Amino acid sequence: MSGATHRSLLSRLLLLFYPSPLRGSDGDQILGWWSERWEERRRRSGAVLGGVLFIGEAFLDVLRTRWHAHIAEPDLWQLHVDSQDSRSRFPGRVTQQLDDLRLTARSLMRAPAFLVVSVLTLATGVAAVTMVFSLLNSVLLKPLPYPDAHRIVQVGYASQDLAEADDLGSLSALDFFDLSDRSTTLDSLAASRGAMFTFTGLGPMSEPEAVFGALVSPEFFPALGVMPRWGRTFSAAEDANRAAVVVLSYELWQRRWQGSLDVLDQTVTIDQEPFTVVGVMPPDFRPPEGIYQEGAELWAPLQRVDPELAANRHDGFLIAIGRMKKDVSLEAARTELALIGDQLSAEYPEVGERWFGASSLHLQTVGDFTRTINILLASVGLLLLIASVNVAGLLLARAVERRREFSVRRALGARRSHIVAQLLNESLVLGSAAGILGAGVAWAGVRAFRSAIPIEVPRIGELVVDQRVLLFAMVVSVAMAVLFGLIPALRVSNGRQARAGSSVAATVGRGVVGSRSDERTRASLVIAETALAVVLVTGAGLLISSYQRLQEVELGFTPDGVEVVALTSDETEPERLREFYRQVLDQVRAAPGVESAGIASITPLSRGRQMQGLSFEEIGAQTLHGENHVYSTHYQVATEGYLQTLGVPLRRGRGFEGRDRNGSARVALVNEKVAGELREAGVEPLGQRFSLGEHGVSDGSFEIVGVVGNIQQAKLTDDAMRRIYLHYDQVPRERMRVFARAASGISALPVLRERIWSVNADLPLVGYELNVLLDRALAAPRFYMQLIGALAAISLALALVGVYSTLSHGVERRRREVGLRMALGATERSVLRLILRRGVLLVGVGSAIGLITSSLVTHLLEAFLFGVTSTDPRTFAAVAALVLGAGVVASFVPARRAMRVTPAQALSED
Amino acid sequence: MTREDSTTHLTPVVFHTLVALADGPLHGYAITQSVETASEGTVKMGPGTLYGSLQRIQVAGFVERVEAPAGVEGSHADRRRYFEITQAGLAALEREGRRLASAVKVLRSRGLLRTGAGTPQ
Repeated sequence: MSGATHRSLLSRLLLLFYPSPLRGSDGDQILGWWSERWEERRRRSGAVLGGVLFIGEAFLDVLRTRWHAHIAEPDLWQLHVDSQDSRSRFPGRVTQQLDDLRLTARSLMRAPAFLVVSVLTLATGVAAVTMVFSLLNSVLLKPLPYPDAHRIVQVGYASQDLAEADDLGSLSALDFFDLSDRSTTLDSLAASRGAMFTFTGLGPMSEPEAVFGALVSPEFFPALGVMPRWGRTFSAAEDANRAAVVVLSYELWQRRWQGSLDVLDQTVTIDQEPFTVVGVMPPDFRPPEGIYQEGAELWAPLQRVDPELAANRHDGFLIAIGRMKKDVSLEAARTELALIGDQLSAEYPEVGERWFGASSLHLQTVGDFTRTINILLASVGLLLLIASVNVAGLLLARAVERRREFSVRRALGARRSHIVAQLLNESLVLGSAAGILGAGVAWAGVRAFRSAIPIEVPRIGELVVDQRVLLFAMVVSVAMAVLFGLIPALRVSNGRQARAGSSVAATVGRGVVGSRSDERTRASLVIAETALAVVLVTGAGLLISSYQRLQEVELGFTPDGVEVVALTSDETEPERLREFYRQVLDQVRAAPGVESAGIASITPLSRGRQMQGLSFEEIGAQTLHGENHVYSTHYQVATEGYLQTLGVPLRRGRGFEGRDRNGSARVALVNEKVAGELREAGVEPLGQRFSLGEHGVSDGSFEIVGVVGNIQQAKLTDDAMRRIYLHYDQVPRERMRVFARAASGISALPVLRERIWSVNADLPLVGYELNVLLDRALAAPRFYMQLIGALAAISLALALVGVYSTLSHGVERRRREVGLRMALGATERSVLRLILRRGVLLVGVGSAIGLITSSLVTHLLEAFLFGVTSTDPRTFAAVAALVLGAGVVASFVPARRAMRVTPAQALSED
Repeated sequence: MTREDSTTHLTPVVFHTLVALADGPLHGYAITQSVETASEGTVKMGPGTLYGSLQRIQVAGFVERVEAPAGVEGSHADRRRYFEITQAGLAALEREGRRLASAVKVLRSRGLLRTGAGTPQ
């Protein structure tokens, strides 16, 4: 009910901005139009985004209508205006308004301190909101950078549950080919499989380089609607023949061939094989980020994939994208895919039932970043509100000081609307200045932010401050200034006090700045500000607590001093692979400064993940945690020395040793989590045997010889996960990572690279310190904590300035009262207490309201919290103490000033 | 005589409004939706632009207000005003069409229009 009232009040306010002739004849229609628009916007984009779009649209329509009515075609609009109404002669009015604005600007220049403070305050809020809006604009609002991007969808296995229609799984090759044959709603259905490519042999000066790229079907480029800048993409025939051809990205071409066109149709060495370069993509081509998390810089025919993968219906490894035909809706495409899914399930019952789904590529790219943007938007929105309330307080103080001037003008016959208009003009000038400043700051901020942002933001490369963003800054700034300028304007121009209380002469003569009710208004503003600031401070407090908890997480290993080099051997023969990594390990161990070293297939705290199903001989699978077929666990391959290098403790049994070799008894280590679950099932882990199934890991049974500590493998926030370690010699791999613990404080990376290249000089190497990964894992929470913390600090400071100036003002107004009290024997202490009490009351009421509001809204932050609940009582208490304490400090200065009032001085002033 | 005569062209908003009404009477918001769909979002109109134009073309005699079609219900039904295109409005649309066609012809004959552009999709 009250929501509806507010809305109708707001829309009535909006109506005020339309030209009066139109307002008179069609006002109700315009209101109705906006209410229908609001319903549509909210339905389509939700309240937050919908609200932003709605406000932007309203502003544009008002501007456009006024432009037509006043400037472009005033004579046309005049047709329907009552010809008697000479005030509606627009050109004349425009000049008059310009005059008014000049006067306003001049009067503002006479109060530079007020001007600077209020413009800076408002600009701070506007800049923050504008930066977040630019993010929202380029990530969510703008279509992806492909022609008719709204028609591009991602296709994959879907859940039967329609509510999860946007969760898609990778397709198997045969299913993909059937889909692309049968679909009639999708044009050019294309498949892609991310892959690493290694460049070698470009002269003695170039290091070998590993590049992320993809194997794609020939429809890939048409599906995105992009053409190469030079040359061509590959044909269906080349794909079918598994031709060794590649298309390069512009950046790769610039980097490795310095933009020379000679490379077209030339042969380059990739993965030890000659490839022909057939095309180069344009510089502005952005491969879809939803598909390639690591980016993609070159593309080769899909059929070059492992023939075994290409010929089966079980292994899902392809991400498919397609272009919906014109006039085909997403629902229609989904319906058709579901039908094809039914057909294929019936035709190949041995594979099991499956469902196909489609989701917009935009949504797949943006993912759940929408949630982050909403949180950011809400936070900066609060800051903007606080800044606006602060400016309202400043405007009120200024207006109150000028009450005499207004009283005189009203006595001389000025209408209330004139005075309101004059004050609103001031707001307009303030708002415009703050808008320009805020937009400028946001523009610079976004440029800095784009290269420095420590969190993963989809489409960050497309982040720009464009016209829409600049317009947004101006609209928000002017709207806030005008809206919050209304409060003082309406208060001061109100003639009631003059009529009811005293004559003009009395008002003019009175030595009092402002009335009691002005002060009440200011007090309410300060309370509102404090409450809003407390919400932000609480959010920041919760993020700080989570961050502390995150830092305290037991890693289970010691990353300090450990350096990692990732490499992929070009050997494929198991015996030669064993020999290669044996040599690498020997070389690294012998390197000066290296204390210990080992090799493993996965780096802790990286995204790497390898899963394996086991069946334990003694218990079978069914009894262990009720798993369906097999006991599913993370696993990795490692050599002796790996766990020691990381400092993972051995709990029982033994670790890997030199005697574990290919051909000797197959051994495995398990972590405490697995050991605990085995013991729960009534089995002693040591000596227990299990066998592995799928994915190239050789079958046969392994014996558990040791139990090692749990480590945080993927994310800091994960609970301990099952993990087993197999010995490298018994299950060799091509892609491994070398771990070395260096002697104190010296980077061994250059030496490590040299040593590894001494075994094979053609391998691309990526080296880093393990601590970098830990730092990266903490980067996002730290960023949110710092960002919201900074916003909270600014808003708290603004609120405290409000408290301070309101109290100072109150002290000025009550000098006589204080003087009188002191003359009658009040002590300095009691005066101090009087003023402090008032300050604490303001802040206390504000904090109480703020904390209650926080408890209702902090659950929105839950996804960003770790180890604290969204209503953590300790955080709430700390926030209350902090804000109250700061309130006392802010009240102290005015209170001391009051204390220094001498009775004689105060009483003699009038 | 108003300015909406045969010597001036129709503004995009007026043009699209008339096109939207050519299928039958609509209320204000439905006109906006129809125009936004038909123009694929290239023509934007808020209520100020819409009702401003409607006033003008009412005076020009291109559209007139009519009763709501029978059987319309819903939360906004009572308030909505419906408009219908007149013979004069249809004639104005036709004139505009001829004007545009002749402009296209001129451009084509001078080779200033790339192939494909200007043909209705």
